[in-house]
Amino acid sequence: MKKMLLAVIAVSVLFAWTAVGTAEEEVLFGFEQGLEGWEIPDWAFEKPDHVQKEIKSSDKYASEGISSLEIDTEFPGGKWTGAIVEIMQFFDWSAYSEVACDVYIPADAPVGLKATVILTVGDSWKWVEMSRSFDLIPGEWVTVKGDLMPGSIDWRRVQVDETFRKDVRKMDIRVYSNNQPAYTGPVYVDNIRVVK
Amino acid sequence: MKYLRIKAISLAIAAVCLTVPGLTGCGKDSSVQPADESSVEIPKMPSTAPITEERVYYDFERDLSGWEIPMWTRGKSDYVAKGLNISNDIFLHGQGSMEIVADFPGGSWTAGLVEIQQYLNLSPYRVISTDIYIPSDAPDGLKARFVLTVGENWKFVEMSRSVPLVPGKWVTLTANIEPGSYDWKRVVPDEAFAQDVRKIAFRVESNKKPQYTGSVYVDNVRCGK
Repeated sequence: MKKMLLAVIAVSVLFAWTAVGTAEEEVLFGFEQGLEGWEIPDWAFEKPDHVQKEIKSSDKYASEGISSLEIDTEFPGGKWTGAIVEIMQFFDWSAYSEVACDVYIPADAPVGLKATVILTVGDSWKWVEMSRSFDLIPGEWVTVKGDLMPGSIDWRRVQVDETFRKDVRKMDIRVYSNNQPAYTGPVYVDNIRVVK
Repeated sequence: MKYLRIKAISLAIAAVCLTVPGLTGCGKDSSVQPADESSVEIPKMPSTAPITEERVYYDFERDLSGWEIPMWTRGKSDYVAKGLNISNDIFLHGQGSMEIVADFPGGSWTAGLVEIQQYLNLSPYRVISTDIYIPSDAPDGLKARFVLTVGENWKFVEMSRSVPLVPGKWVTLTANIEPGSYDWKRVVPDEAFAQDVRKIAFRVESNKKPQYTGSVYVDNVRCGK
């Protein structure tokens, strides 16, 4: 009887813990159903410093589920170049404190690539880049995250207030090489999410 | 007759006064303005009022928040920071600090430098501060200073003075970032200085001595006004 009670308690605790864990985050894009609206913006094809070639859904690597977004890139090195993908969608993230995604480069990719998130917010479609970027580590998933709370210092040239996260109109993810390294190959993005 | 002569001379003098500018002020050219005292540029000086409000930017409670040993210091024999971790053993606030593991050989100038690249507008604030600790068995003689990278040209601006670290005690390093501050080498900050900070770095220095292999802890990187 005691064993039974202990088992019930253990299962209940595990269930509660799982429920709490999943309640903290909402996955917006897991790329399990294809590109889910993500694209390379048209303007990026016209810019010589933007070096993304194509995107597709991939099942080679995933940090959530079994698929991710694969960006084929060609960073020449020797100058600043970036690869960008975006989705245009209206989001109200008032209930969340953080936006995050996971980015992966293969183990044989060079060190030195960085990733950042850009949001387009508000009536004036203000382009807001993160104030910092995250070093990608070959062979590891790296979480890129930005604080959405009022007063956040994670966003450049903007005073983050309550309205900032309430009216997000586009989300971009940019991977870049600042002079170095040179790299031709895929970059994977997965598990784009908001966190309470 | 005499009366008439005096009157004529008086009228002549009055006419000359009216037509020659500046002789009496009559007929003065109003377009020539005296030097306006308010237009004289008086260099701004930092306020001496006490700091009453602070904002902690990096508290190292969960992770390094982007702080790193920069790539350019690797392979340079005078830069001796070897590792960077979160420490939960030694901290001033909360439960964590940033631990810099360094190897100062002594005998030459060497430094451990860590930095974060982040675009920040610190113009609402007057000072930038942090707390730095070396263990009680560390030697005397290590010093620390801030180094900022600011503006479109990514200008590397060092503090003009350094602060001695005291073994076994937290030492507060503070630099004024207001226009007119004398805390920066070869630069007197203007209004734009704090508006566009792109990197914050600390440098812990040994100038020939001491020799020290061990940890330096940093906590509570903050701005105040």
